[in-house]
Amino acid sequence: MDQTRYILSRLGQSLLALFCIITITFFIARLAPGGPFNDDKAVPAHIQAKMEAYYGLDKPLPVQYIKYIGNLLTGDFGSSFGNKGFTVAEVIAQGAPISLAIGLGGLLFALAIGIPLGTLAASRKNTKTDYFSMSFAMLGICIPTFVVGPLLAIFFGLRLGWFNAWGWFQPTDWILPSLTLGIYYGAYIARLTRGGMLEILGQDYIRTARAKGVSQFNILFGHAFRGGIIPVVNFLGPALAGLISGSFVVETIFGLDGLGQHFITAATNRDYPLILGTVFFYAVLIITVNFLVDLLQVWLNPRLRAARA
Amino acid sequence: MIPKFLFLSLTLASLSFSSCSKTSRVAEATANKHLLLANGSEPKALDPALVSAVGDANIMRALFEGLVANHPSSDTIVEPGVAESWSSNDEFTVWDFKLRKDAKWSNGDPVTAGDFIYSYHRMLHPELASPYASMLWFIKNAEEFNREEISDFSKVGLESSSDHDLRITLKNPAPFFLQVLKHTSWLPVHQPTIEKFGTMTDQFTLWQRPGNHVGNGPFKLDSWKINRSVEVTPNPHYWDRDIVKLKKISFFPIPNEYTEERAFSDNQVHNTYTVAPSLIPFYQKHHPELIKIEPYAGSYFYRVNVNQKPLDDPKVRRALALAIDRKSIVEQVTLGGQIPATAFTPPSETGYSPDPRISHDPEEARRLLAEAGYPGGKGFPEINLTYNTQDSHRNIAVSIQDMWRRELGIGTINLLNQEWKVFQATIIDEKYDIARAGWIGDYTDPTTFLNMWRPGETNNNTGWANEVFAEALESASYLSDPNARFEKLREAENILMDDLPIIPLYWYTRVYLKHPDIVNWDPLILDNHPYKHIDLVSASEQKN
Amino acid sequence: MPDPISANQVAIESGTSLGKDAWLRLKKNKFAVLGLFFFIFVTLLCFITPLIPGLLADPDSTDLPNRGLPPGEGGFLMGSDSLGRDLFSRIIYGGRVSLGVGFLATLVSLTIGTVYGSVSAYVGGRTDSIMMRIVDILYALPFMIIVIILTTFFGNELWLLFLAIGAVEWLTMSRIVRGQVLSLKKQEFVEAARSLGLSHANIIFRHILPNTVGPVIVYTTLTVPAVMLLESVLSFLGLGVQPPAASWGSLIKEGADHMRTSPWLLAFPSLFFSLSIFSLNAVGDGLRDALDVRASKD
Repeated sequence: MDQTRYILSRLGQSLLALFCIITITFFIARLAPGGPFNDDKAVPAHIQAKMEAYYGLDKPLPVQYIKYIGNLLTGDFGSSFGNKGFTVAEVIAQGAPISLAIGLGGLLFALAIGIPLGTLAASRKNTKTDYFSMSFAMLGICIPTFVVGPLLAIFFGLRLGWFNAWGWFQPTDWILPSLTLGIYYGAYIARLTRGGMLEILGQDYIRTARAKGVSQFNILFGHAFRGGIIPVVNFLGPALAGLISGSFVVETIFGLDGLGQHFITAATNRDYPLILGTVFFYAVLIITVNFLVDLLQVWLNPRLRAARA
Repeated sequence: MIPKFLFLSLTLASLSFSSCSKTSRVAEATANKHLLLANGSEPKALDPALVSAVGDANIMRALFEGLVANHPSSDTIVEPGVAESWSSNDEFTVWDFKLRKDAKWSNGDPVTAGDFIYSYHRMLHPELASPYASMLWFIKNAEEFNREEISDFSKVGLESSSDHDLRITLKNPAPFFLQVLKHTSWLPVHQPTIEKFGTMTDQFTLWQRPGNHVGNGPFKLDSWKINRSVEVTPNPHYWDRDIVKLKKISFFPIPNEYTEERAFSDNQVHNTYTVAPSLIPFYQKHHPELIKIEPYAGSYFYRVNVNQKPLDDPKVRRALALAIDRKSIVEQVTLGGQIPATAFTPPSETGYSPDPRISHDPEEARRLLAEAGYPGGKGFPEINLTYNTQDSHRNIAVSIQDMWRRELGIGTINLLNQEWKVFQATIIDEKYDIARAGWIGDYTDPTTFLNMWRPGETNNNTGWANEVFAEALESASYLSDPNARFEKLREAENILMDDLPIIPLYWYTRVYLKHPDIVNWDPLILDNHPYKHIDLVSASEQKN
Repeated sequence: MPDPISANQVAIESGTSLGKDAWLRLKKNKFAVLGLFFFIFVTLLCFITPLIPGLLADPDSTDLPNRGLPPGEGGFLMGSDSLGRDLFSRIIYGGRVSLGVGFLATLVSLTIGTVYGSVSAYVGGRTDSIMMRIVDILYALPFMIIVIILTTFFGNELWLLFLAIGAVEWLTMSRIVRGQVLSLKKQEFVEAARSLGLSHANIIFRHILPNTVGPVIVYTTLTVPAVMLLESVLSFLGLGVQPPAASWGSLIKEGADHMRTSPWLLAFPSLFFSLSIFSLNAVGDGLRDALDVRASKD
């Protein structure tokens, strides 16, 4: 009963937040200089005016806003200005599966790299193992994706020929882009895991368990793990949203037609409907994952569970 | 422990992969006559009336055919397209085209003179708001119709006496009109298809989609996936279908020059759209057979805001222009064999070449600057040099900033980079001091470079309004003798170069990587390769 | 004289102040001390050497005929870039920008994020919901457009750079702090402090926040490199340091484009950047351990 009420109220809040996001974005997008129709060679003013009229951009902003919200309520996101002839929904639907594949792959790599490294480092604090695994993790943060990506493409693609250096043709084509993302996020996760685990390992109940002779493995994964990964879980919300909505850099490097490109090009093209569409998509994603994270946090933290019950 | 494990797994992985050798996509594609082209950026549309980018025009030339067509290896030769023959009056103002009877749309319908009139009507219709409508203003009364000054389209200089006869009457003599006709804005569209999915003036409808799209070019649309590819296959109804050798062309939008180079090295595409300056010397040294550097009808220059102090003084503008060592810029910074500009219009095989009016002369530059009241750069106010964010623009700007500091003692020039649309707004609103610019010719005639500097032109944006210049262009437009006309245009260009509302820097080249399998792809100054002539033959077979 | 009913006092048996105690513990951690020294060395290098006349080449002066020289050639210690500028000099000058921006912007995001996150979690209920939904909203807004608008209206101002960076970076920080505080606020020592009638501010800042220091320090040290790289992205949008001036981020970006032809252009800036971040993290880890009150009892 309480659970249902919590979820319902959270849903209401989220809808309100979504509405705010759309409203703010609608108006700030129009504040940016330059319009969707000026191009390399400037078009005569009368043509410019006609184009704006055709898309309804000549009407007062509040009128456009009400019309947009009205359409949105019927599920109509409008048509893209940049990709002429495609609706915003189509543009997002074409990019989403690729971003999803790359993003989930990236998450997989990130967790596979980050959690073992972080746990290992925490369990052997201030030893060579700790320093080595943390240094390894730090490489992922110090070498930005725009360096890692080309390096992986050149080494595994051009030198060794194991994977395609570019394109989306074969089932293995997700590996290099996902790895590029995974190395970066994995580094964050490793550091946060180590920090969280150390925090927990210092707590009294762990000390008690240790005194009782519980094995190191059991302490790490039986007792400490749940509490230790709380910082990771909190980081995971934004990270997951970032991974799924695609990465412009990684897509550019590997020539993928995911969503990440649209986030940037919609803004640079002043493609207002697509800006709103991508922002809407991202907002739903971030609100959902943050909600899931909050639920997960309650589950990971027995004290909170008790408090809410 | 970890390094050992890593090493082991890497070794295992390398064993399992290295046993199977990858067949290259390009080799396979060549065997299948499938051309894989890197084409810059994603097309904005597949409608000839709505595109404006160079990459989009490439796709248009595969899907549509105009009255005349491009020659595979010459910029001046005019190939017959839908028109099999043509003639004009002595003044080059009335042009008659005889359309071939076997020209067909990709759905089998015949291509008629009416289709062209319909297409030009649509293109010029104010409600369609075509960005390139001004290309058709050569036609009598076209500009007036486009500007809604007249509403009766029958007054526009287009008529047909039969399905196969088209007469175009021009506003002014244009001996170069056939060159203009090669531009994508003159391509026809299929009326029933347009109107099946909307009205004549609807901007984008479902007609552009695969399955719906109808064209009259050597190829027809097969698929279009945003940011992935546009694919075309031969049009079975094309009149010259026997000459078409390719079975398929894929146009890939790859906006990043480093990415496309990796794709090329990985044998994923047959060419690149461009080459990053840092990679040019690398390819020249290691793979000279792959890199192509060809003249291109484009001019790279700086706009100068002539209403801004101290740039309102022509002496200051000339001093800035003369202090630039263009040879160093092209040889050490852009690296692509570009030609240091001595005027604005790039020389071409049309016969026009401008008088050289600017050079590298630091002595004279310092003298002019002193005359203008800033000896040794003293007292020169702070001004901005604005450019849109791109590495090559930045490197050129940094070099020029340093040249002005060294040669003229001007240390008060700030670099300002702006995001593309912000930059465009800055230019249009004339809110800059000096700004980077580039201009690519639409057709092979100097007017495509000179007309834009007339007072009040949309792309002038310098605040420069010179009536003598405008009059010289005006009088040139009535001349039908090519030599007299060029003489008058040269006169106009000299006025531009004496007043210098712009500082020319260099003339473009096309720099790209090309796989040796591509056949019949020859240098063209506008880079408009007719795909129907292009073939793919593996390099080993070519030798036999 | 410390607060008579401070929880710190309960924790620290020796009676020395928390700061002094932590410093003693930090000194024992060789890795952290090494990191600290290296970091101070790099900072001094970047901020002091440019002040000595004649020591460094002009970082912006181009020398086209001598472009792209490898390290050691033509008098360039670390080689020259594609316009013949001295890479070493550019790294040093760039370090001033990156270190300055990295620290100040991180400080901004750290302050906002910690205060916001802890207040949200501590107060809880409706306030928490509203505050966290605001974070959701800020996450989702198109950052690039906001930056473009800000630069159009206010020009290229330094405070705008910090504002823009701080505005994005504090969000995740606030969520991490909130998560920590949520799990702490039901613990016995907080209940105890509350039953003693301490003010809320006192409880948050003196009892709860010190216990979140672990994840906060870790995330802070992760924020510094992110901020430094974000700075170079913003400069593409016309905000922040403009060419010809360099920053580590922009040097790495330029180097990445030349990785196949002039690898030193990528290697040296990356080396400076990575080593600084490494040592910063060593300090961060040491600090985390030193400030961990419970662990000290081991």
